[in-house]
Amino acid sequence: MNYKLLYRILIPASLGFLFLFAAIKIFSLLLPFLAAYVLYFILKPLVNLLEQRGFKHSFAVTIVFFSSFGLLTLFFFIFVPAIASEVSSIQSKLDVYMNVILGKINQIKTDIAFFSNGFSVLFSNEKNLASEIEGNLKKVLIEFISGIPSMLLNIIPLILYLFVIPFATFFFLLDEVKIKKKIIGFVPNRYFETTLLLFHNLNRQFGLLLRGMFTSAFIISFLASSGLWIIELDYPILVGIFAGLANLIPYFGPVAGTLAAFIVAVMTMKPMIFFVYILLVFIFVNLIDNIFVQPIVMARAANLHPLIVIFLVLLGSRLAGIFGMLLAVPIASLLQVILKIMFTEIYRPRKSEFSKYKIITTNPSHS
Amino acid sequence: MQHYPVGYIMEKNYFWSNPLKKSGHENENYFFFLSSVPIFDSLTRRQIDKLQRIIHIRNFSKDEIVFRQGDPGVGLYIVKDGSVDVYNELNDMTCHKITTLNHGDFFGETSLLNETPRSATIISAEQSVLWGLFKPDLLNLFDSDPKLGLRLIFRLSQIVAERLRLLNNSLCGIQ
Repeated sequence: MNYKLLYRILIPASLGFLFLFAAIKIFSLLLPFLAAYVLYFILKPLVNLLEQRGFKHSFAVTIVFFSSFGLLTLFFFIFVPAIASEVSSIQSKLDVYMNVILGKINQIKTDIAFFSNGFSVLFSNEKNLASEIEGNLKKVLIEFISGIPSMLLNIIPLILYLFVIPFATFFFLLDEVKIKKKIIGFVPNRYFETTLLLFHNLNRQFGLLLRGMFTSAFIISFLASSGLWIIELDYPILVGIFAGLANLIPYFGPVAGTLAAFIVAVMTMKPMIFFVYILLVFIFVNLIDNIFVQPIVMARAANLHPLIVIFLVLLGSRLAGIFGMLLAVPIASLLQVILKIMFTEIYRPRKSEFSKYKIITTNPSHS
Repeated sequence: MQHYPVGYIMEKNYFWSNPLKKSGHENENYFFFLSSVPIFDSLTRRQIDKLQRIIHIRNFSKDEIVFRQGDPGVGLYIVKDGSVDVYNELNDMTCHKITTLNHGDFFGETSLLNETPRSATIISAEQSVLWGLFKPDLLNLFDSDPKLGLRLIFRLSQIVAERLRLLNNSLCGIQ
């Protein structure tokens, strides 16, 4: 029996599967650590900045940790009440908004009926179509809006996470090198350097992507909220944050943000000129995004062709909905790093075993 | 048939030990040993303390390959305990033993500067402990301490330049 094969392939593979199985089983437990890892990547450049100024590592970590969590708390105290009041305002006016939207749908229905007189074959089941749209829209809107408070409040583990995440983030920042050394220390000598390089490249790519996404979402949310607030659209913060988050989905995101603002304009019965204002705000935000944010923040992160990006976003949406669209490009760019190193390793010219070489114990320069 | 062992020998209590616990005695050892290695002799105490955090301790058993000539390399190794043999592999399936490196010697330093393939094959001559310093870790360290990076790269360039000078001299001697 070939024990070498067993040792090299079967044992690592079965350990890998076991690890994967365990990870899936305890995924919810791993979530706060994953969140802490994300925060670690966002805060790490600040720690580096302080260390460059001569601060000791532990001191730099303490300063960054407490100031950033202080800022985050302040942010929550300022913005969470504002967002909550926007949400409760939508909920209290839900019936009014629903009637407005239903009115619009009826309008569209009559329009369809009007046009379908001429194209009776094409729109033979126009009534079904219109009532289907009406039913679906009503269902989705009611489910979504009435679900918001339960989404926000019903997550009890969130309170637990609020303790675990800062704790884990602090130790990731403080002991990043030690943790990395411990993990990678188990890799056999033969694969050590390749694993180290893979680990480093993945970390670097992950960090770039996360920081890019975070900065981009923050800037777009801020700009869109400010713009919508200036044109006096209702719920500017909610729509702005949605636009900022949606903007993370390449190509489709900006359209989704604009549509959300349009829906709010329809619900609150704004005059038609508001659509032009909204369009102008989003054109401005996208210009800033394309000229300043994307080239500086995201360009280094994902080096993929636009066609591949569109394909990946569509694939992501098919496989995992909105989350799939959001994560498609980051996952693809991480896979790109892994495949690049794997291919270098696979296509490396193979040599004969060293034991087959005839050893001459003289200096070659003298031979 | 040559035997290729796993190479990684787990230190006692390596995993279960408290990662936050510091041993003063251990730090002293690190300092004296690293400051005796030519590449690090220009570094301050604090810089060496930072450097020792990114050093990987690797255990190699007798006849285990550290790396082969032509392999992609990402770092240098310093011989802490034991010794390693340096071989030059030729196309006619022969290899010349060039030298043996002992305590305090280092090899693979050019791969810190650029990712060129390894220029020789290194085999552990006995049970050895090598300290590895790798480019990815070093790049991370330079992010937080560029001064350390400057000193280290400057010293490394001096060593490489000196080797080039010696090589030129020996080439002139041959001609």
